[in-house]
Amino acid sequence: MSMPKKVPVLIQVKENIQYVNDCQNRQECLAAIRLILDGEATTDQLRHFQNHIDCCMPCIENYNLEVTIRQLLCDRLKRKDVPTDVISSIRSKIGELA
Amino acid sequence: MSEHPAQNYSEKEKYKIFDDEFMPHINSMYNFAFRLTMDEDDANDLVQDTYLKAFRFINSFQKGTNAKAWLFRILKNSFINDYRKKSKEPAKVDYQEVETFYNAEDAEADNITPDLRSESLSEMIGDEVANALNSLAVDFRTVIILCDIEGFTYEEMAKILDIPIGTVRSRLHRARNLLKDKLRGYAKTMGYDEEDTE
Repeated sequence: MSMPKKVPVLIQVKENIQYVNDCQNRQECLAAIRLILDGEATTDQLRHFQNHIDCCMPCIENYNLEVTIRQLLCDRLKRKDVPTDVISSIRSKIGELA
Repeated sequence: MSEHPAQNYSEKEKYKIFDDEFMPHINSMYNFAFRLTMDEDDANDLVQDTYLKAFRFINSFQKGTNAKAWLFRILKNSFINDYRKKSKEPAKVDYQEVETFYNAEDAEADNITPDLRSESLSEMIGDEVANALNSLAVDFRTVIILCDIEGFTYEEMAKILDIPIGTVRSRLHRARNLLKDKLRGYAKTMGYDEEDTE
């Protein structure tokens, strides 16, 4: 059942870690990052990613960008309430249908 | 999504289902309708039409199941059948062609370079995000709304949109790349450039 999105937190870059600055599988990694953030990744994809993300700077940047875009969509887009006269009209019309 | 045998609810049960299971989703439905039509009057009409259809066909809904997905599917179908032609939407893209291209093994691996930094987006305001989202073709916009804003699973989206899960996955991937391109454009135009953050 759909629930409002819970956006994960950003990955912090640590100073004491030697990161790899080139990723050989960026396209596959980006697809995997999206599956993981969507909660649709397999156990294998999750395991692979958890081993990889600790040391791959391009994937950390891609992950953080994907998280930020989701945060923008959830937090910055205005959500409006349906006008009350629409609700009144619906209730009136289903009364006629019954 | 008529996976269940037709029900035979009493009038009292119909109203209870309508109030308890359908009405709690009306604001999500309204926002979805507004993002599809980009017009408040059309969104009002689309929501009203959807709820009237939902009540009319309430016997095809199994109470206690996924009302939100059921309602979104009705709204999406109503939009395609009744509103799409008159909406302000630009010409529909041939997304099937795009998806076929995108799924090809030799497809250009666009958007893999993280040249847009998350810091560049942090200053972005709601109107800019909305403009970027609204500039996408409706089929791409729809999957982003369903997944990233409303939190539907791929399986639910496949049912709402009447497409295979693999198509949901590829369309969403493509839609996110397009949205990222739009946001990158806004970030540059508005001066939220990555140069300033480093």
